[in-house]
Amino acid sequence: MESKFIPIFVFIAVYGLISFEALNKAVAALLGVMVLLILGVTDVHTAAGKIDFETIMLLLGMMAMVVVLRKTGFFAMLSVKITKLTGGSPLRILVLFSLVTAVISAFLDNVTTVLIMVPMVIEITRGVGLNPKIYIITQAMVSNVGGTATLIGDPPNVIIGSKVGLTFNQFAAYLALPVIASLTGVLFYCWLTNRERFRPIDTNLEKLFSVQLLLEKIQYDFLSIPIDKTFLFKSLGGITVALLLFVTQTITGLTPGVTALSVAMILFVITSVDVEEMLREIDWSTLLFFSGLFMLVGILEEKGVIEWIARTIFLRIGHNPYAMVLTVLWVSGIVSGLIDNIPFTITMIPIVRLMLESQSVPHNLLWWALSLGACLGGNFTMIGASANIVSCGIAKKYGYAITFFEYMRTSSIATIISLVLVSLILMTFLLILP
Amino acid sequence: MSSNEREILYILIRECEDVMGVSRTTLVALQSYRQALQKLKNTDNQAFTNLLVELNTVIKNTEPKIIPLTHLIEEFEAELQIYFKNPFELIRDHALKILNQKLSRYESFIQGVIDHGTQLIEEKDCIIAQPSSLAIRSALKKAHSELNRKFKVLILDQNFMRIKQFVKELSQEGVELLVVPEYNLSHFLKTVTKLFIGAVSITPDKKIITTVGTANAVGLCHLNQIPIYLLANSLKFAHRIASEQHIYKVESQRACNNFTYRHVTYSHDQVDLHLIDHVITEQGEIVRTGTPFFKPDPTVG
Repeated sequence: MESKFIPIFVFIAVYGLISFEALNKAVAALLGVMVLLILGVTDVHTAAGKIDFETIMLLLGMMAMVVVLRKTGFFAMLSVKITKLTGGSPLRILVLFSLVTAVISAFLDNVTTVLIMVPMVIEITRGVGLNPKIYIITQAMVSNVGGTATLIGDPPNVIIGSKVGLTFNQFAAYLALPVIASLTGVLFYCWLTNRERFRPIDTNLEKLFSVQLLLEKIQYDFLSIPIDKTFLFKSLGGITVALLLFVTQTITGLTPGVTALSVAMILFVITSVDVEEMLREIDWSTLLFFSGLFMLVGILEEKGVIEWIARTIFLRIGHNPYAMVLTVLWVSGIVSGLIDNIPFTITMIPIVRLMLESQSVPHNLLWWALSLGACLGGNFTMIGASANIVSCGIAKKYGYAITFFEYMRTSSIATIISLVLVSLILMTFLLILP
Repeated sequence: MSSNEREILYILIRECEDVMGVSRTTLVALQSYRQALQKLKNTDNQAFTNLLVELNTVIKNTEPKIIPLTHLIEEFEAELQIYFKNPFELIRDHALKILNQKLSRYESFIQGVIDHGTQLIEEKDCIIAQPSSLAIRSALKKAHSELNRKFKVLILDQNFMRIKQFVKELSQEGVELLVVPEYNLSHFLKTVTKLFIGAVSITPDKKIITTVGTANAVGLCHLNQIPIYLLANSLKFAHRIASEQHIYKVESQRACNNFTYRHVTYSHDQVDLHLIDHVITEQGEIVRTGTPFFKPDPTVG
């Protein structure tokens, strides 16, 4: 028990430091690993061997591609186009921005997506005299929902895909329907509870004038952004190639990590960008955080702690696949709302493996339940996902501070609606899929 | 219109002026007014006329006052009033027609200033240019592309948002340019041949309301006998004196290294008209002492 006690204590301490943001996430995770190394719980080579480099390569590759694409001015161009399409209609702003945010989040990381979309949403909503808060909360939520749809959309999916060996196409095939249902549920709930705010403005001359003026200003601001067409086409071309390689993974045999990092490096070469500048913009802190967590959970697994948790909590629910899927979905959903979903997912993977050893569940539904729970559960509270924290940070900078409870008033019910819809879909899959 | 909505519109117009300059803001505001009218859904005659009056009042009272826009909206109001007893659709049709006329008229005024401004640019000139002026920007581009003149432009670094479009346009045109902070101008004066400035308004008390930082540049150039050109169409001549131009003032408490102080900024500068050597309007150069302060368009009913 003594050998288990130290890693458990260190792991709980690291979780606490991360959850209460007492320390930088990467520092907390690596400090935990260093404590275990100093105390001789494990050795350097064993700890380093626990890092899943496939996940790290995929994340690094995707981050590098986003950094290059951001430099092209593509996102600015996209947000100006959407803004023009909304025509200032409150409902269209909600729906169009949400759809675009969800789609972008499915392919890029959620924080990048909200960093691009939220300032534009604030700009247009306040220009029309609307309170941007509900729009900001919705953007954060739909970025998490959209990110659930693909292997590369959200870190929990990247981890599950890499560690379990699920392909890009499998993610898209099984998660598309739950994500569409969840997105519809979230948007419908936001509209229903705020429908007064989404009334059309076409009888208000002053608001119509403000909207038109604002659109002209945004367009003018955009014109001053230099767009290098060759650079843009090369970058978009590179990302299209990466997506094609993800989709054809079973034919090419290239893992998503290899694809992402190869395309990113090729982009660095063919676009002649300032590599030092690009590297500075990569989120190294997140990559170090992932590495630290992989080592911590790997050590826990090696010491039999994960098996103990699985047997004590999850394996007690029996061998009914319906109960197993629902338990993983709802536990992941609720816990991910309270703590960071990345360490939670890394911890849950060996547990789910043990559950599957005792009772198989067809079509990887237990993994989909973990993915959906961990990603959608991030919407429960303001601290449940990085995109929520970043969105609220941007809102505060613009003078629209959103409190924890203000966020939760909308997000918690929307998340419960999402999880109920997803539960129904997963149950239907279990029932009808052969 | 609530005070909050009015404040939002004031801020929006101020931001537009800050980035685009007065002439472009006037054009964009008229275009936006036209589009807003086209999108407005059926309403009754009385409600519609109230909406028009309310919006016009806000547009005429922005901080600072956008004088060309104010004049054009006043003309628009006066011309439209005779149709106020008609049904909504008819008033709207007339409103759109009048707005189109105002837009064309203002565009022709700007074009006139650009044409005359272009002629001022000579071979080997080194011109300090105020970045927000549409007329100055267009005249520089035209002199380079159409008259094939070779000259250098020093852009006053007043506000990044304002200069970035200017820099982009002149760079694309191939004009030699350099961005210099207005407080460092003294180092460049030996090579400078002209100063081009624009205006938000020119007031009856012989003041020019212009972009922040311009007053210093004008003072410095005047002391060094560098000719100063004001490029402004005649719709910029205001009815009211400088102190009534609603220059936006911000007072705040600032803290730095445990030191707290009161800080005051104004959105625009005031420059004495007598420091200007040449005033260029759509009619060409006008005699400074006989500046024709704004008179309503004689064609207005």
